[in-house]
Amino acid sequence: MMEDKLLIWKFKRGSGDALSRIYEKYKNSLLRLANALSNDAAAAEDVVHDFFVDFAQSPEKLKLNGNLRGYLATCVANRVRNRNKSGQRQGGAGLDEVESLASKSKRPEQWIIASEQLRRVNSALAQLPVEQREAITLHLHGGMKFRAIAEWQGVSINTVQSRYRYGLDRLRSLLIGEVEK
Amino acid sequence: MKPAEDIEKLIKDVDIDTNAAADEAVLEDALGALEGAKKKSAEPAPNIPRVITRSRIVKLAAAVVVVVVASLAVVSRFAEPQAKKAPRMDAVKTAAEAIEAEEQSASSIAEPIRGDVILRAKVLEMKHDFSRWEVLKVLYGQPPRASIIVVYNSMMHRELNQPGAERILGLELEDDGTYSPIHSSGYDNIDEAEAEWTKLIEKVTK
Repeated sequence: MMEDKLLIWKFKRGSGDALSRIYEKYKNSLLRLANALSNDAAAAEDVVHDFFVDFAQSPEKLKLNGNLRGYLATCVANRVRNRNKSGQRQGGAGLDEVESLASKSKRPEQWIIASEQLRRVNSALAQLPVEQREAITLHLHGGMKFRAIAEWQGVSINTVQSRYRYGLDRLRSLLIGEVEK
Repeated sequence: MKPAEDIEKLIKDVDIDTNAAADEAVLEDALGALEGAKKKSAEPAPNIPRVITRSRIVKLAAAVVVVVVASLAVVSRFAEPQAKKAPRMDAVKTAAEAIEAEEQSASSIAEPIRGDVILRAKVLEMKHDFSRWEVLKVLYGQPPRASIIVVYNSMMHRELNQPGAERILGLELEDDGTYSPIHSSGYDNIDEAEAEWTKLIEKVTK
């Protein structure tokens, strides 16, 4: 936590080292979060890539004194949500068809190397209602507290806890059922 | 371990690997964006007096969104007898009210910001503004001999807080009761500025 505060302080003063450290420290959890929320590796890569570029463009505007991990997770979750909406508005175009900064980058095509376990978990998560999936992934991958998720989803904390609990029950039956087959 | 905890652990522990080349490329993009942002923030700010003189609306706003601050030469004036001080105070008050009337009559002015109103209120209540006193010392290098009515907007006020700032427009109330304009060496079109201020002086002194 102290390290994060120091990183924020340095980053706000334009430190490239601080940005690199934030990137190294959180890129995997953000990719995992975006991937779980979108169930689309390419879209998750673009979202996280675009987020880091935008994040770096205005360090002085960063108003954050608390939890850096939660802040990053919220930003990425917002982007996934916006891309989903944007995809729906554009007549159901897939997430990866929405233009992004990432498409202009020289980044090699594949960033996430998905393991079998990752595919299995994401495919089970994809079968949950969006709200339950968000509650589970933001809590487990984003490290967000239920109160923060409740604010983000605009519902009560009890609702978030119920969504989380029902989501886990459903996941258990999906994943264990899959093993038992 | 409870079944719910099993599932939580399973999801939490899902490992993710990334392609190192892509990692580097993304970080390179982000660092490039950071460098761009640093260069952008290092660019000099626009010359405010130039902006004011070029834009009629901003000029009007600068001239009319006014704050009147009266600063008496603190040490000597504090010691001045009340009877001698009263006419000077009345003159300051009249000037402040005239400028306020000017402000209210203009149609295209921006709304005065909170600080402006507070400072003007100080003038009308005849309270000394010690931060203003420091600005006057910047201008004159020594405490002013006469009472000063300085008119400026918040943009100019920020300018004045810069070291070596000289840009200011105002009215100086001399000991003999007359007003004279204070010019700004940083003003681009001094004739235009002077014409505006002559009008204001007429209004204040008539």
